[in-house]
This record gives sequence, C-alpha cells and structure tokens, in this order.
Amino acid sequence: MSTNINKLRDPDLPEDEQDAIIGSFVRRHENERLRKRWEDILSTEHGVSKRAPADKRKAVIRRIGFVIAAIAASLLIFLTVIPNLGQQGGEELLAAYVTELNVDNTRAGGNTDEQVLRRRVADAYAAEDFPAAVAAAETLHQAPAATPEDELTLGKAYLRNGNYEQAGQTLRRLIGRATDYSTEARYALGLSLLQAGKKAEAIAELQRIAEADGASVYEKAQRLIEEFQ
Amino acid sequence: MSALSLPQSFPISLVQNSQADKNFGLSEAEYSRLAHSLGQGDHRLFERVFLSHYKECQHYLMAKDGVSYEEAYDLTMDTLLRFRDLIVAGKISYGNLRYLFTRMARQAYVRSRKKTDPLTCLTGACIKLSEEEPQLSREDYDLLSRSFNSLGKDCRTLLRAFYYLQRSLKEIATEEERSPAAVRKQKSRCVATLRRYFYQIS
Repeated sequence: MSTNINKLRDPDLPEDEQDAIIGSFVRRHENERLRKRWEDILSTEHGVSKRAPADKRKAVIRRIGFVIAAIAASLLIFLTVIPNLGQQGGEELLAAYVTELNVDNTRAGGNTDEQVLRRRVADAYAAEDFPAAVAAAETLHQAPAATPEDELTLGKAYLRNGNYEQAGQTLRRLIGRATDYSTEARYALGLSLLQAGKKAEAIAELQRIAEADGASVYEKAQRLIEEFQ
Repeated sequence: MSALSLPQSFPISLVQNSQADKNFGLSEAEYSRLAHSLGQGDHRLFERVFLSHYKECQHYLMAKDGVSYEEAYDLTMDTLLRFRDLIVAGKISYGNLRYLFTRMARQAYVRSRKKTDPLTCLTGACIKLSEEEPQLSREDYDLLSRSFNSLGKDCRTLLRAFYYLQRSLKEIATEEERSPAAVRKQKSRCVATLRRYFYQIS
C-alpha cells in the first residue's frame, strides 16, 4: 500500500488513515531500534555478524564450482555404475556406492578454526587421503562450533577409511538427534553396515528411508536393497 | 529442557522429537511467560531464546535454499521481527514454533523473490505472514523520527504502547488508573504534536 505522507498536513485527515500512517511509522521506528539492538547482541554475544561483500563473491564462486562438480560426479556414476548393475558382484557394486559418498563442505569458506578444518577435511577427502580426513574431521567434531553436518562428514570419513564400527556409532548418534542430515546419515549407515558384513541390519536401515525423505537417496537405497536382499 | 538452560547451538529441523524441541526448548508455561513479557515491552526472554538459535536458522536457509550468508542473515532478522509482532498480536500459539519460524523464514525468502504473498498454516489455523503497511520513503521516515524523538517521554511511551505493543486504550487506562477518555485525549494530543513537529521541519 503506498501513501502520501503529505496527508499528515491535512487537518481533515480521517482518524483511521492517520492511525495507519502513524502506526506504520511507530512500528518501523521500534523495529529499527530492535534490529540494531539485536545486531549488537548477535555480534557481541553470539559471534554472528554480516560478512564482507568480498566473502559473498567467493561463496558464489565456490557454490558454482560445487554444482559443477556434483553434476560431473552424478554423470560419472550414471555412466559407470548403473549399466553394470546386473553384471557386477556385490562387493564391486558396494565399493562403487561407497566411493560415491562425498562430503559437501558447504560451510568451508572463511578463516575461523572450524572453517579451516572443514577445508582440510574436504581437501583430504577429495585426495582420498582418508586417514588425514578422519584426523581432521575428529578435531573438527570436538570444536565448540561443530555442526551436525560436521558429524556427518566424520561418519563418512570413518566409513571411507574402513572404520566401520566408529562410522556406525557416529552416524547412529546423528540419526538419533533428528537433524536435517538424518536421511543421508541413515544411507551412509546402511553402506557402513554392508561393508561390515551386517547385511540384515543394513537392509533394515535402508528400508527406513522413505520416498518423502528425498527421491535421489530413496532410489539409491532401493537399488542397494534389491541388490543385496 | 528449560529455556533458561538452552545450549548455544541447537539444530533447527522440521523433524523434532519432544514438544520442547519443537518449541525452541520452551515449555508451554515458559512460552506464555515469554508472550506476556513481550506484550509488556520486555524483550529479554525472547532474545535469550531466539537469538541463541539465530545462526542455526541462518545456516538452515543457506542449506535449504542456497541463500547467501548475508541475505540469510537479513531474512532471519526480518522473520524474527515479524515473529515478535505475531506473538504480541496473539496470532501464534504454542505447538510447533520451530516449524513455524523456519517456514516463515523460507517464505520470506520466496517473497523476497517477488512471488506471491503466502499464507502459512499450522494445525488448521492460517497466519498471514505480512501485513500491508503504508510505505514511507526514507526521507519521510527520517523526518518523522526526528519529530517523534522530540516528543515528551509520556507521549512516546503511550504511542509505543498503543501502536507497537498493540494494547488498547482501555488496557492502558486500566494500568495507569486513569479513565479511557483521558488516555484517548492524551493520545490525540500526542499525535497532533507529532504532526505539528513534522510539518515544522519538513
């Protein structure tokens, strides 16, 4: 709704219109005061503030790079794994699925200790240096600002490094906390259990992934169930 | 978990286990206390609960919608201010505050992309996420701010209580042990003075 502020000069301005203009102003005035107060509290007590524009540009470039890498990885999987589904043995197929597990590294920008560690995990993981990825992910997981995504990364690093017991423990803990990463954690747990030879448990976990949890992960889980059941 | 012992980092998710988890760690009684204190202009409990979840909400928007850090920061702030308004207006009930808050934040993002003004529904009740407000230009807003700050403390307090804390003149009169007519007259005088100051400086 647009208004003409000059109406405030009209002595015959109806009370409801006057209330609308003054009310709008007072609400905005008070919200701006509150916004400033909260920005101060966030900055001083919670360490949350706006980033410099330069960081924003880097984030966009990193995101574009991530999207391109994800598309390339998906194409690779499509061209190599799917045509051979019926021909490969279980172990080969499983190895292919485990290799397909990547860490997202969506929060790896910036220069805090945690962000540096996230980059280190992602770099080691991408280089397939899984002992180094595990070491960095364990340190990151102990950090005060560690997130559920970091815990998922740790679980995947354990899995790729062959530490199935630790992978299982980490992923189960994450699933139990009902975060946004539960489905991905459950899928990784299924792979970990398959790798550890616990087929029945693995199938049970994979069967708990519903279509509503995400079409992509659901389809991958169904494919594994069909292959190993 | 009590709101008074909330951890600094608490994941925002659409799937939560307990009733308290669904409500940012608040019990129903604590939420009532929070809503009451907001209505009195006391933001401390609201700030303690919601600002400690700010970073999580910001990252949630970044992860779900690919929003930039800075835009997610602003959207979360806008949502927080709107959430406060709705609590004060009694339009939000205890139930699943976490879901409603994240939904509002994501819809604020959609709205910022100039899509339709959405409604969000929770347990059958729909809440309009934005009200149409008269739009003031930055210049007019600054002039009115100067005029408002020139008012006496009593006038500023009364106008804040009426327009911002959404209390009726009758409620204000009862609390101040005055007649509603006297409060209504005082409000008229305050608005007239504000308009006069605005006219003089513009």
